Amino acid sequence: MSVPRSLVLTQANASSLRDGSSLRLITMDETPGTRAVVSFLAPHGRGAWHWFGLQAALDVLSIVVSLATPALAAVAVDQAVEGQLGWGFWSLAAAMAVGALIGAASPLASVRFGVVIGRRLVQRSIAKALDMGLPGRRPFNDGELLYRAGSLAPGLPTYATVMLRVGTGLAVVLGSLAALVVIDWRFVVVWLACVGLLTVLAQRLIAVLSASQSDYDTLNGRMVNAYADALAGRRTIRASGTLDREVARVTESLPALVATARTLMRSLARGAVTIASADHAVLVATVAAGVWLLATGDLTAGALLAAVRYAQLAYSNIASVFDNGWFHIAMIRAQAAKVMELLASPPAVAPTPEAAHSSESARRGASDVTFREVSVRGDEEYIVRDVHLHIPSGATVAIVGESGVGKTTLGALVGRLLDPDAGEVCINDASVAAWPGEELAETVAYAFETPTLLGDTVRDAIDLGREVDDEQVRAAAQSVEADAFIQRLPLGYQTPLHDAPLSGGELQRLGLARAALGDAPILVLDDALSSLDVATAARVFAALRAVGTGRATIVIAHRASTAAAADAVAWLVDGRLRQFAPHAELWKDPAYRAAFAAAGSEVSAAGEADR
Amino acid sequence: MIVGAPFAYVLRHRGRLVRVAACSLGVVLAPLLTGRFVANAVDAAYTKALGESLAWIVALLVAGVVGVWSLLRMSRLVADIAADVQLALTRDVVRQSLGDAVQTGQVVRFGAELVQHVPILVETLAQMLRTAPSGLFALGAAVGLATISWPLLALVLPWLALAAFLLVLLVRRDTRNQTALIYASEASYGEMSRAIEGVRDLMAAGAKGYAKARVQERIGVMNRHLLRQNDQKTIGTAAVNATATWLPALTALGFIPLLVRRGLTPGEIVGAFTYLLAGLSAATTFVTAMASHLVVLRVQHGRLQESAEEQGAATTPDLPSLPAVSSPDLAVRDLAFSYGASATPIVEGLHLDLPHGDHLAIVGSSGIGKSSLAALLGGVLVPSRGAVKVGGAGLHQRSDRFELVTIVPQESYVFAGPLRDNLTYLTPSATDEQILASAQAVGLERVLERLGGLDAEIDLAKSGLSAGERQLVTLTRAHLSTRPIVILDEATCHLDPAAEERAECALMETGATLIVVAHRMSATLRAQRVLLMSADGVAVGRHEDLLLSHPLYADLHAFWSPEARA
Repeated sequence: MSVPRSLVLTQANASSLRDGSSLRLITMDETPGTRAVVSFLAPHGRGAWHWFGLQAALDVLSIVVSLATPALAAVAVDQAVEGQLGWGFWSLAAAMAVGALIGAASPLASVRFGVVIGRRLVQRSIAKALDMGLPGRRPFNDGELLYRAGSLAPGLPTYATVMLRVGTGLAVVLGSLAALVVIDWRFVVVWLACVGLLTVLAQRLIAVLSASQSDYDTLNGRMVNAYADALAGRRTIRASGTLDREVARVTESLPALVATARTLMRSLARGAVTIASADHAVLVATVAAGVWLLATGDLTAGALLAAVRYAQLAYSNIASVFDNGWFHIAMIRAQAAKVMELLASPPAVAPTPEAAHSSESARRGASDVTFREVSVRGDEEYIVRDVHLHIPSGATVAIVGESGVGKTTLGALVGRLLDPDAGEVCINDASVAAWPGEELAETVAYAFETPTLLGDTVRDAIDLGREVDDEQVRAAAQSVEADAFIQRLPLGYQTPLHDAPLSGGELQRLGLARAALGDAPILVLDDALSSLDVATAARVFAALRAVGTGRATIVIAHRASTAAAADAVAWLVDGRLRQFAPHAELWKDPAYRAAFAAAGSEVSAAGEADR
Repeated sequence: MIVGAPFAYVLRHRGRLVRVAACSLGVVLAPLLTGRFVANAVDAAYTKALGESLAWIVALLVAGVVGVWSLLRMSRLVADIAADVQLALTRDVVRQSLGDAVQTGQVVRFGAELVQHVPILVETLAQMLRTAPSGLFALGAAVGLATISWPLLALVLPWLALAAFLLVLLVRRDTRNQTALIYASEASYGEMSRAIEGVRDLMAAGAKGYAKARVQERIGVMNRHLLRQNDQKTIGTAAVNATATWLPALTALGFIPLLVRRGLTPGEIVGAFTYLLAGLSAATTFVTAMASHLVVLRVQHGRLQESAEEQGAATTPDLPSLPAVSSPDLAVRDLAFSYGASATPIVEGLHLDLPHGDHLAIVGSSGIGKSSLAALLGGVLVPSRGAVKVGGAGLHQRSDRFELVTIVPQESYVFAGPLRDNLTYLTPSATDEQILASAQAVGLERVLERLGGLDAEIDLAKSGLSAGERQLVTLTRAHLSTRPIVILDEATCHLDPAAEERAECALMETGATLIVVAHRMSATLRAQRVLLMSADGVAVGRHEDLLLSHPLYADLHAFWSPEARA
């Protein structure tokens, strides 16, 4: 018997608290059936079936051993009463040894089977999570994705083990009852009477339990949410010196929570007591019946012992099947439903059709970019609407507009970070939707205002799995003036990322170095120079544009100087292209100048405030 | 000690523990007498003394009732103890974790300690209390066995000693293995988390395969640890079980013919076996349960301790009380600050005077350190060199700094509870008139109206407030606080320009010194002076002067024009 079961369910969920989202509990309605779960899990077991087979075989063997042991013990005792150490003793010894070996081997097999399926499920889930597109446009938030892919998916293979356990348990119950019939059918009657009593008692408990469980979950959720809120407001708390009050607030519902936990534990304890009393009832009744039969000469001492053991075996197995087995099956089914839902979600960027590939000539040489009447929908309204824009090879185009006007979204379309809802984006007249993904990524490079660095070291963050040699990494860093500060880090390029204290400008330059590596023919700079000082920004910008002769550069800019340095400016207003002209020409329009003032030093990561 | 050792929480309840022990005796009584009573009943049946046999069965039943009653009593006591331990432990952990997060600004634990570590610890401690009777029973069974035949007990004891020794080895090894497994699984979880959060950059660089390969590698490592832990624990447990149950049982059985020849009755054989099998199985239950409980306890408690240590023990020194300041002027003297020796300094040698009632706007690109400077000016961060002084003393050393400064950060801290409590957070004594006046001044009145007054409950789970409305709540709170220095750190980023201006002007009118980390350049037009942070350093001046003297400032203001290029 254990404390609140929901705790087990919510444990893995803790990471989702990072989002400040409320505690999620698994609800058990609308879960898939056995067949659906099995046919979902089965294909992931390739190469591990022998472990499952071994486990199943061991479980069958364990049924035989459990059922044989009391009978062999009876023979052994009867032979011992006769004063001899006969075959009963040696068979009992063998059965016990085999039973112990099975006990040891079974988990070895089940964990191996589970690891194989679990790893495949996690890999599929992660791959799916990465195919869901940009954060914010995904149907699940980060915490939920991580919870489903990282916590739920690896636990699903337990389904097979639990099913086997329930099957084994039921087989032992039936076998024990059969053995009781063989010894004397009257034992079965006694047993059924005792178990019937248990069922009546257990019924009363369930209502109490589910009521307090739901109270407990509510109160626990309230406390954890208050805690997450306080963590998010830590700067305010620090600046106001109100820590003590916050601790009091977070733990405000703790006494009620604990009182509910106590009720719950007491109910669970009553359950345990019910089981214990029925267990004892089975024992007393069986002994009473046995003694009667012994007296009438229908039974030997050994057979009495065996009957007691079989009755208890049948009882303990049926109790565990009903107490744990069903619950686990329902829980895993509910979890499977969540993982299945994740895996069934469509990818955000439609995969390139197998046959489609752009011709070699389209991909080589100078690149130009055309937006053909593209529109992108947000939750409610259009973010980008009917934008038509042609950026010729070798040109630098600035995208300008107030914050939230769709600049970043427009830039994201070129490298298919996002697909338009209408229209298409073409590179060299070939729709990007027809480009093989890898080639598109090599063709279009991105640098962002706040890049996310991935990998173990600074070098990893720049290289990002492209496995180029150190010289190329260094050259890329030099081109964006990042080499000098990287050299000053404790271990240079090998400095672990979490040990590298980076300023905003340094972080941006690592992102720029990553984009510079590979000399992609198209470069999208999404406010990627904002934390650099004016002179450095100008030099880096010039260096990036100068690469090759035909590099097309799209620069999303908040500073007028950047717009002025571009060949032309695409001025966006409310998602639509207001005008496409050189900066000097647009500058005459006061509304254009106002767009810069309003954007100003806008923090594009303002969304973090909501977390 | 970060959080006291888990046993200490249980040991506070000595009175109850004594009663648990008493109940445990009752619990083991029934099974303890079982073997003896069964033996007697069987022997009586052999001699056809059915009445006597029946008497023993009744005795068996009575013993069972006593046992069940004791079990019920004990379970209640354990539930009470567990509840109190949970209360104390949760409170301590909240204080510790929240305190660390507030002091260091870093969040290392995100609530896992509340929904995971503490409940597991509490449950494990309760389980250990509940398992105690099994241990007692095993002892009792040994005594019961001795009453039937002491040689049988003597045969069994060496095996039990060996089992205990193996158990100690198992616990130590499994603790090590499980700790390693936790690290490996956190590493793999962390890698997944980074991939999911960084998907934009992965897509842009065509590096999703790279991320997947890294995740796969981490899962591989974790699985190796899992297999190792599982294998060693399984084999170890099997070895303990073998030495604790079937080896002693077989040894005893093997000697029974000998004992029978020495006069052991059939009833005694049945009784001895009842003791032996039940007693040994109780011993096994006890031993394996304790083994895994101890491992869980050590591992979980270790994690609680460790994540607290990672953050470093941040403590607030007791500050001397200083005379109250008559005129809260801010004097920044040679201020320098950097996050660590090799990091680029945020500020270096800054001098600045902000007389009471002054209005300063801080501008600069993101990541340049504006918030850090705001925290320095508010006395929250300790300068690396120099000082921010009020009344001649460093602000961060003043115990009354919470009465002098209000900082409103970008993340609005609004908590679930009545709106009134949220607004009077800094001034619990404020009257409704004062609250409503501030709400009116800052521009919260429409939110008040929509929510239905000051008594409205804010339920964050149901997202009752938009980001902008939350900022209005925190700004009203600052307005109501009447602290002489107010620092807004991008605290208006979710408001439209008109709402921003209204809130800022309301705060200016209170006469407080206002320092605004500007979200929009328009904020600089309202300020008396502007502080510009850039990679070239810090520049302070009037708006008009900076426009002329500083190209970046002009650029940010879009006063840069194509003609000026030449």
